[in-house]
Amino acid sequence: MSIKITGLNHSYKAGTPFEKQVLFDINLEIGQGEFVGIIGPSQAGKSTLAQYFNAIYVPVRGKVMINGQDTADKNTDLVKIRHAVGYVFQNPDYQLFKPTVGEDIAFGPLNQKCPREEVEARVREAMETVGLDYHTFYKRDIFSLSGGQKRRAAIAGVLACRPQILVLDDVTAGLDPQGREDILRVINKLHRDKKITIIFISSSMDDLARLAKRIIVMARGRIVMDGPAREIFARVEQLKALGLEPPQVIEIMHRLKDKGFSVPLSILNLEEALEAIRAVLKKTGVDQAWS
Amino acid sequence: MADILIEVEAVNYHYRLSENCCIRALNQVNLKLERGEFVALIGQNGSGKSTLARHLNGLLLPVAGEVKVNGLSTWNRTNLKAIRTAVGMVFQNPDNQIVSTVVEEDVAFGPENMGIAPAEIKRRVEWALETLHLLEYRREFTGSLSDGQKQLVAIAGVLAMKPACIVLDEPTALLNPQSRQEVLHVLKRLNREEGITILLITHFMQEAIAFDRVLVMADGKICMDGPPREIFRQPDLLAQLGLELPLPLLMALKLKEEGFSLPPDILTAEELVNHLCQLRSQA
Amino acid sequence: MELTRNITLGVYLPGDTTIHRLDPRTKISAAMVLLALLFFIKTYTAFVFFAAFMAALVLLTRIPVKYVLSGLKPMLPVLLIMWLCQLFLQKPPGSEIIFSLWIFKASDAGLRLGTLMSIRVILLYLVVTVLTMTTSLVELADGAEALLKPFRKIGVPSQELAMTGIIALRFVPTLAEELEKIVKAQMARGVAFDRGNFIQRTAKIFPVLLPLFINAFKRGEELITAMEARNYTGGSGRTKMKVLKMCRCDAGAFIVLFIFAAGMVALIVMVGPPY
Repeated sequence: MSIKITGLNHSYKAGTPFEKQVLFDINLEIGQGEFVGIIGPSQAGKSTLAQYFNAIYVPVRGKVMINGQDTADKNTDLVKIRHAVGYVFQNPDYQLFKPTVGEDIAFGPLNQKCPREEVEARVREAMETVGLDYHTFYKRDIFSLSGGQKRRAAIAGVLACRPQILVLDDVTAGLDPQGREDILRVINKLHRDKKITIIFISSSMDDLARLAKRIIVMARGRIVMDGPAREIFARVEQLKALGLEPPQVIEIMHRLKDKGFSVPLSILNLEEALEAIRAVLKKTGVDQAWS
Repeated sequence: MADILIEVEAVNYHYRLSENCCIRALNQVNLKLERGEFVALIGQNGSGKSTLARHLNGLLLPVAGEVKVNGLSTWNRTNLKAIRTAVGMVFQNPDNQIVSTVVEEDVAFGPENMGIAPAEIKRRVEWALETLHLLEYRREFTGSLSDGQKQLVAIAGVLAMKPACIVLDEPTALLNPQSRQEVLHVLKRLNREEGITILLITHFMQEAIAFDRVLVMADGKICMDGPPREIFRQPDLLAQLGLELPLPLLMALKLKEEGFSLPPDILTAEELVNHLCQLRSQA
Repeated sequence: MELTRNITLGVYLPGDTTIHRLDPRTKISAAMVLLALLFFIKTYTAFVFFAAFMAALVLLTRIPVKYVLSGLKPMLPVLLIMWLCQLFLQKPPGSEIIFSLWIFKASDAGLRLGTLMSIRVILLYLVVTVLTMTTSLVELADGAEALLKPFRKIGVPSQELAMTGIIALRFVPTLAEELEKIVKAQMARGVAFDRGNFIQRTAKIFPVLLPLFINAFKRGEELITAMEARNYTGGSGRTKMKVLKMCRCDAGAFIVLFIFAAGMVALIVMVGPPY
């Protein structure tokens, strides 16, 4: 299941005096099983682009092929595409509307006309995957959930449709560190265990550093960088010029490098950073007092 | 003689969910805030931070204990106007604080409520907008501002009431990193240049370390209270309370475990880099 | 799909003409007087004078006439149907049949009443349009609040009503954006808004309406808290930064209005309709 976009352009309020172009000549391919992070300053066009992945938008200029099907083709079943490419929005309150958690998660599969037993099975599976205990939360009122729990319920609601690709649009925004941890763990599990292709839109470099293998940087409606995470994060100056803060750990490496430490910039996490620093310190003969 | 602005004495508060069920939100909280302080309040979700904040301007009344602003008790309804003038509050959602369609009219809302003369309102609105570098947006439609700008307008609206203290309840949670920085810069300026007491509630550690005093809450109690360096010298306790350490500190602690001689209170990237350079040059 | 494409409420076209500069209280009162007059006019002659007056006003606003009249387009089908109904169904005593079409008989009274009604609706539209195109929403709210202020004594919450109006307007784009996001979120879960019969499509409104309403209530609660924190305790005791001040052109406008209204009343009284 793959996504292929060629020559995509998108304008708001097209045809009116308020027309504004927000996507310029986008060319992009995302393959099965990838974990792609999309980042960029606000108004870069990230969400607009992502909404072509599940055929919320259908191209007027350019071509969008999802799983080999042209979304602009009148014969393509867009609803089927929306089940295969799940999209979780930032605000779970835009999605949750049924009285109980269980009913809301069941909404998607019911729309897919799944038989009763299968709906039940899918709801169970989805709740388990996101870490909401079936017995505790199935009959819970959606209003009684915390922010993090609501996000997980929303993700479960999309997972219950059994998508092959999952788009997550800024789902960690506004969460406290614990809530963030929970969500990131769930997403990692989805990619690792269920082999779902993940497209993760975020404004937090740190979140992307943890999980994404490939990073796409967008700015003012264009894709300005596209490559392996290590490579992209190392381009500290370029990222800063776009108004983006590189992951904290890279920022530290960058400063060390400026002061003459020979450390690589293409690291992804704390362990790698510590190793690099350790190596440099040992080489320069710094004392280690072992207690 | 310390100039106490806000005094919280043995305050208890619980939310009543039903006949038999209530959630304890504040448990014997004691706090003194002096004029001109620059304080951050951190804690996990559910620790009582927002509940405490809402006691400081009388939006919530304690179930037991007392809250006094400038010596005025929140128990007395007639004091509320003066209290809310002295303690302004900015909330998390940028949209749900703005009432008017035009920026300068929204900033005028507070002073209008106080019955201030129109000419004076105009002066205050201009001053507030200028202080926040928003003067060029004065006639803009509020609905078309970015979230970051909306938060700045909200702060301007509170500033126009000439408060002695501004309490901000996770004002940057929904903002992008750039806007977050802007808001923090503004708060620092307001504190240093205008002498306004600032109490910021946040769950971003990088924000908390920039403050003069950090309060840590858990389970409705204030567990830790001191300058950030002191607070972060107790990483185990912080971990127990479910709080993250700033990354430079985490790295310094790990390197310290391996025997490298680094001080236990490194909070910023700059400090870490400087200390590592020192180590290298000593070798 | 882009729901926010055509959201333009109360199209206000800023300008610096005499009409634009009038105090909103003057304009609102004038509009009310003109609307009242319209309901009493029953002769072609009176309408001609009224139309001439409106034409003069429209020209004074310097808004392109084509733009003003373009707002009538959506109304034309309805107007036509209403005119036909009057033409064929009105048969007051003393009227004569002027022609018949199949089983329908048109009376001269019907023709007259139908035509007069259509003209009345068009002129009504013009009065409201001149008002909203030359007065911003904020000005309208301020004007309404000021006009209703004397009624506070008998319990009319003038400030609260005006403020409610302003808040509603300020949230229109926010809510439109939210509606769009909700629709997209439910589309993403497989709700196909463009399929199904009438009943099925109507049912699809719930996944959209419920989150919208719930969020609106939450917003309201948060907004009230924020307003309380800024010392809002209702309309009494409040001052306003912008004080409405009438000037010479307002006095002039009132004089013109008075003369016109007096003339109209005279016409109405002296030249009665045939029926």
